[in-house]
Amino acid sequence: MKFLFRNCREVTALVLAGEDRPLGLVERLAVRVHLQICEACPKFTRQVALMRQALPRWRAYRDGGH
Amino acid sequence: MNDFAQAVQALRPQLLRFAHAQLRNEAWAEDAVSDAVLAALAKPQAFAGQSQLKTWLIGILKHKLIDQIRRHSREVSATTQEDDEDIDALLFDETGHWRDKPAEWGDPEAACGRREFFEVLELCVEKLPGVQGRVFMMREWLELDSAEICKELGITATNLWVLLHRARLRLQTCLQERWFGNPAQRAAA
Repeated sequence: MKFLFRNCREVTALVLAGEDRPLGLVERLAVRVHLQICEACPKFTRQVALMRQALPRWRAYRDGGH
Repeated sequence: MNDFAQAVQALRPQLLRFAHAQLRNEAWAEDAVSDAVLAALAKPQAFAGQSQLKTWLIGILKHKLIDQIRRHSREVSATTQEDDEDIDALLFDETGHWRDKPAEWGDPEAACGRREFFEVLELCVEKLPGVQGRVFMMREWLELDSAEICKELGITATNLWVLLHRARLRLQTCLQERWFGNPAQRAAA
């Protein structure tokens, strides 16, 4: 079971890796377990989600003229 | 010079800024912009007012930027070692816990609805250290996929993920400092 328990730095790395590659099953589980018990990392995950929404709009802002 | 050529030339400084943000090299940026401007002037009929002139030119520029990256791939990837300040060590202690807990950023629409937010985001992207900045912009601005970036730069996928990981962490730290953690600036912007 130890492989399911990661610290914040490791979980942050997995959450960010998920932006650039598909996560494996164990990785996804480890993230889910950690997010249940951590107060800080869910906020970080929401920051990542905000970035994911903002970046295509940044591209449009940049390319569309300002 | 006709009106079309004048309008194209007038956008040159802006194209150059974009090219430089992507390539992080003056000479290559000049070459990419010259290639794009020449290509545009060679076929004004392709523009035909179908979109904004700037949008059309940026579309051409993006192709020329990929050409430059390809041409200089060896030099681009030779510098992957340069930025080694460890952003992880700044954010996490030895046991892997946050030094400062991340903040709640709130509704994405609230930020994305503000033009000033994108100005700050733009600034944060341009401040990314050289290789991280290049790779991040290849991904998020040129919209190349991981395999293409690795191929163009001759780096491994693991290498790429490390660079993108650092770039994204830096970007979030920058946005926290300059936007979300700074209500005074947000209100004034």
